[in-house]
Amino acid sequence: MSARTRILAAVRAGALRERAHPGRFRPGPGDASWDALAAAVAGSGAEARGPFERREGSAEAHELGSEVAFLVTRWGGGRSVAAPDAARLLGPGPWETVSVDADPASLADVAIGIVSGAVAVAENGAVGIPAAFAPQRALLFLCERLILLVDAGNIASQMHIATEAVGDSLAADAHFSWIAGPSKTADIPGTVVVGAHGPREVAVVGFR
Amino acid sequence: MSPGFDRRAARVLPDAAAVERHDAGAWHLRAQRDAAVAQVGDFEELRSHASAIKAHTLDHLDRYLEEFEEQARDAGAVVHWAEAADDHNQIVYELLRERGVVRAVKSKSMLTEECGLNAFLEARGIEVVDTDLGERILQLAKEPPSHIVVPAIHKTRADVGRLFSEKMGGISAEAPAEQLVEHARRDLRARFLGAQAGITGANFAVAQTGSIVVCTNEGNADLGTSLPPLHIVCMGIEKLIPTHDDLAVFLRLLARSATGQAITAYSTVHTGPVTGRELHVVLVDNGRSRLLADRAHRQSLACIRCGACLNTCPVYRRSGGHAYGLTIPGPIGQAQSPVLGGLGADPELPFASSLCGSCSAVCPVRIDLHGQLLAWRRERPGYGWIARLGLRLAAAAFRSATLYRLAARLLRAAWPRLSRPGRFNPAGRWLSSRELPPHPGPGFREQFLRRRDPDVASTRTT
Repeated sequence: MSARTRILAAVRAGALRERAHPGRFRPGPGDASWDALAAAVAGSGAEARGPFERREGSAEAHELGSEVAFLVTRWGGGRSVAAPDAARLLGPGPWETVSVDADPASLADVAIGIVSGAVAVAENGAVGIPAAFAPQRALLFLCERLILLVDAGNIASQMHIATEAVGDSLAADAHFSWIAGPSKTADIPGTVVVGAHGPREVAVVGFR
Repeated sequence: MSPGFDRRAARVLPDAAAVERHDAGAWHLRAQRDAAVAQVGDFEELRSHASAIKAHTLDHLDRYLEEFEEQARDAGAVVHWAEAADDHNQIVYELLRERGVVRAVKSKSMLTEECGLNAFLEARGIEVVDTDLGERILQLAKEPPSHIVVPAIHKTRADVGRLFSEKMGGISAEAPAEQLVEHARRDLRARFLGAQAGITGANFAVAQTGSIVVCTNEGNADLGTSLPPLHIVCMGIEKLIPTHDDLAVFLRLLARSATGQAITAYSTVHTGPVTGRELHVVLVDNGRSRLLADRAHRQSLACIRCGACLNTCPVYRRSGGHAYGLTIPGPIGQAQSPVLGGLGADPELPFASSLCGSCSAVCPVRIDLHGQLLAWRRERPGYGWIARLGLRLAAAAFRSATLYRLAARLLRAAWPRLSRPGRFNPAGRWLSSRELPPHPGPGFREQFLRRRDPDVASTRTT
């Protein structure tokens, strides 16, 4: 008899079959505005900017592209790398587009990563990033600073609503990350230090 | 309080300043939790809902395990089953050995602590680097975690400075926290880039899609799983939840209860491997099915490891996690230890509690923690023969008026001696952390007799 069979038999012996699933949680009313999101983003230690107008074309031709280019400059430039969907949103600018086939370790020297999110959550400032938006997932964690682009029309007030909005990605994608603020640690007691492993600064930039 | 526990606590937090510091550190987390909870109008409903999801899942755990396995396999993951700690360690070792892995990075996993995975792998020539900063500090110090969320909560900045200076070099022992973190970041970044495998625990596993959910604030689990080609997940079978809708409930509760954040900085859902990579999930029983079969105590398997019960517990805060002698300290560890704690679990642990109920009041899944400790006290009276004798004598005294009077008189006479701490005082240990109330004066019966007949009363002494 395999370990699987024995464990399942032991678990079955203790499975009471008594209590039903409570069903979906019905959250109270929530605020899905940009301002609510911006406040939660600030609470997570990141910076919210925008929302800015977006148009097709090169980055300097629209507010969103110009803002991201400004942030890249403000953060001192260095190697700036955009995920394919973010590069499409911004248009050509002072960043390269990551290749889907790139060796993740080749991103070790990235100063600024730029990735778009599918949804943002106003109650906690998290941005939901499906695999399709970050095919090289390591970019999100190796970069020194991270810019997350969020469509101001895709804000959910609470996690339940956000989860519903990205249900297909959660079911099908190999990975999906919720990111709220910079990497941080309180493991040296008495202090919260930002930049434990991943990005030291995060900007959530909204667009319409 | 058990004799073993208080002696261990005195070693862990040796002086009043250490107790004060530890107490303040844990209470700070509790205060942050309260502030975060106050921001969520439906937090109590969320707790009840989470409790109901967990109760339902445990009642149908076999079905959810089978659903998880099927979905995870469909997504391309490989699922392994381990009955005991050594089986788990062996499975992980074989996976690494077959692929020629000699360097692995690991993010925080209480299960691998429970199973002793690091020592098992290191004895077989595989380097395992703990990448959570707190765990890394303890790996260098060769100590187990003393808290499940803040593993090195018992250390000070000065302790960490000395440790890094001695074990890593290249940094002053006096360096501020920011420099210490930066030093560890650089050292660990190189290890992430050189690792051949990433090992993680799981905060949750979603049966609906066969997904693993890993939450960290540092991003270490994400670096450890996005760089190396092999990801091994080590998880207890109780981590299952049915759906992603349920996951939203738990993600709203976890960080708020743990550290007072609205959500953990990084929460990643892994469903099968990325093309060209491998994802293995090791499902571990190690006593959990026995706890599940115990109707009175199975609810403690609902724990989501937020640490809120530790942060609020007056005993944990003043004793330190190592005093428990368990992988999981605090009220939840005490509640699970008689079944999950292994042979070494101290039978007197359920008595290391004030039963104040603060743990139950903050538990995000409404485990009746202090009720659990009370139940264990009844089921397994683990106190020593002196306490048992004392309780028998008390029971006899309460049954007989003559004996009661004699006992009351003896205790009143001995009071001044009992209230002085000292080596020859039978209550000396008890008094080391408590004070006797002032002498109660004459009892009711004597006062009554004295008032009725002062001459009779004056012949009696107390």
